[in-house]
Amino acid sequence: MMLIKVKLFATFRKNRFKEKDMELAEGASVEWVIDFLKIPRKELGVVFINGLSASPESVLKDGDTLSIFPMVGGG
Amino acid sequence: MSREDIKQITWQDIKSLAAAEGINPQEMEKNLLKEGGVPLRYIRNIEAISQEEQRILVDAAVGVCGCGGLGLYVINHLARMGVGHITVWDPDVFSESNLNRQLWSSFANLGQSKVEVCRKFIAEINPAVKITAQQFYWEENVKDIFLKQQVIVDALDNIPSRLRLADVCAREKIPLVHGAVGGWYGQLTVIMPGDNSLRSLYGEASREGIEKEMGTLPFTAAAVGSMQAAEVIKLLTGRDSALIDEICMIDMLDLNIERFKKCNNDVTNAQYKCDK
Repeated sequence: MMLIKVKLFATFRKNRFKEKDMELAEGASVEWVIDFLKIPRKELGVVFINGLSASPESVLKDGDTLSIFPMVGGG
Repeated sequence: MSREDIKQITWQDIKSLAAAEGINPQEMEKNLLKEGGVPLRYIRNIEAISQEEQRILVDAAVGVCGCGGLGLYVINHLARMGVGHITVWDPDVFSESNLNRQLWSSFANLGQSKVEVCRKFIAEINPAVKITAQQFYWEENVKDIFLKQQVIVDALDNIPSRLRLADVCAREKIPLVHGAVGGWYGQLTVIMPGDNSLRSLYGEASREGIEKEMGTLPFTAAAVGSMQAAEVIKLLTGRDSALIDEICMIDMLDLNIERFKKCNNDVTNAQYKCDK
């Protein structure tokens, strides 16, 4: 098992949380977390692991901080 | 030298001097700045930026794609800073739903072209600015005037057009200052040629963001538009910007601003036009 800090931003915090430590199976990916948190894929914007931009396919490691943002496109 | 010691010249005097020398007021202002003077309306810029940087701005050309919640604030700030050549693109007219957030929108100008209203206000704020108002989508004119811009501002309101703009700016090696808002939230970055981070923000698909549900609040648009203007000024004057390598995420609700590193950013050796 590994411990990941998950940070949600903007509208993703609603009915979820702002920041939470999650225990995940080794080899879990960003998209596993996204699906587990029932974040609709069409709303997903950018994700960062340890402050560096990543992709939904990225595999997480013990101690990582995962930040998840919704898509913002208005002007 | 303190600001009080600098020779300060009013707009009226600049016009008279320019007429006497048979040159336009903008040229007169550049000469004045070269000689150590400052137009009075720029005096409060000085020290925060140097007289040489002010002269660079008077000579600079910036294109703003989109005259909505973001773009109008960007244009306002650039004009007040003294950016000499501003080209604006937007096919729309002001509508009643713009009134919550769009600078210069009013009941009096509902139905009027946004770029024309822009031109009118800029003439009142800073008559030395040469504003080119393009009442059509930026995509309809990516030759000529578009390619003369040193920096392009992405103040658009939809993701497909933003991605197309990033592609054109990459191809033409023009730095792009991206900003987007939805509800209480916004994002901002500077995209140099070689940086494909807008694709990581939006992916390949033509989707809509949270603004569809959340709308856009006036202070979020004003904050992000103001930050975009600051990034433009930094690019034009050759100052460092953290946002070349980072994306800034703004949360006006929790009052949280965070910056994240981009990857897949290969701008180190890129040549770009405003670095001249």
